[in-house]
Amino acid sequence: MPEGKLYLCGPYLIVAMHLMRIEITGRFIENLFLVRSPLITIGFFLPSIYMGGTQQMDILQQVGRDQIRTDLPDYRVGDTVKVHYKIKEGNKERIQVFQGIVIQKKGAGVSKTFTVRKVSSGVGVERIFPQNSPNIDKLEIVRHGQVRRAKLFYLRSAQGKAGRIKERRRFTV
Amino acid sequence: MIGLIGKKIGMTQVFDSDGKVVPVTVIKAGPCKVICKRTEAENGYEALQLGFEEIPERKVSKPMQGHFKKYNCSYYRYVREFRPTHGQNIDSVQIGDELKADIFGEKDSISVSANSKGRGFTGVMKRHNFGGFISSHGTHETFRGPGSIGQCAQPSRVFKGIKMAGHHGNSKVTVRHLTVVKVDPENNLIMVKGAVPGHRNSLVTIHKEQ
Repeated sequence: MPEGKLYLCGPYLIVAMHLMRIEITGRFIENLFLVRSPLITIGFFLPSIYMGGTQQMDILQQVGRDQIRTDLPDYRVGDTVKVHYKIKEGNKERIQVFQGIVIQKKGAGVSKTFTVRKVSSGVGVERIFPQNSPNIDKLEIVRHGQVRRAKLFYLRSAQGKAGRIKERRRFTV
Repeated sequence: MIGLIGKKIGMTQVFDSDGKVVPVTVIKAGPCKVICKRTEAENGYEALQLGFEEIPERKVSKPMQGHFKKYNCSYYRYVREFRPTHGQNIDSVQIGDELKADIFGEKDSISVSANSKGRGFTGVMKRHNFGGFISSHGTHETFRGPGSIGQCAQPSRVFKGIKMAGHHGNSKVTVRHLTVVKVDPENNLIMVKGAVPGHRNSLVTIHKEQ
């Protein structure tokens, strides 16, 4: 017997034979493993019971799930952020603030990272932070930027006006 | 309690207590049933025989069916023997015991064996870490070749065991002194620091090193 949880699915969910994400009341129920009911072939829909087979990728997601941080604000590429990062020196712990523009977001799940770039006394400094690192004490968004691409590597060679980022207008709902 | 049979799930990362990223391989270890014990008196050596992944009778070959029936247990897809090493004692383990991932603890040292990924027919650079040749300054046609494979009229032949191109991978590889980072006894998962041979879902045997 494959291991897994038993799910009861209504007829409208019998749509695919693949791993799916299904949104129910605003929450994603992940890793629901759907199998086509044999009754579909005669055009008759019935609620069916499926075995949710625990697939290997699901296990990896589950392993990382409790480490993913949800307390950070929704920052975007182009935003100017302040990263409060915990630094351990021997027994002492202090917090260092790194302020700059987010120029890239990378990775998925627990291994997400983001790169922050700042120009410190004429020298460009880039720092890569793991997004889910427990060492990030706080992440503040100083300024929302309006940009048209996902990676802002052009900032490295941009000078003057080309290196500026417009402020994003934000609408409150 | 000297080892388990498991399946490699894949690699991911965890944060340690310092907040540092540790690359880990997730292995589904066990549960394994003790099918029988090999003893010095009867078999000439000591070992535990473990079965992993229960399967129905129709999927078991006739000879193996006979083996399982002899010990009056269920049928298993994988059967492996584990010999005690590092002064381990298997006297406390009884036939029919179920061994789970909780036999491992955090910071335990283990060795993991599995069949490595098959790489087909590969050249000497990939297979034996040869250096190859520089790609400019007049190099002619040979960039990744082995170079000389021996001498001339003496001995007029190629010595046995010369490293050459050929089939690489898909052979049993053991990685020793790996560290267990985390154990999840509920789901029978262990997380091992670093890489483990084999592809995802491949069968691995995990031996304790203490």
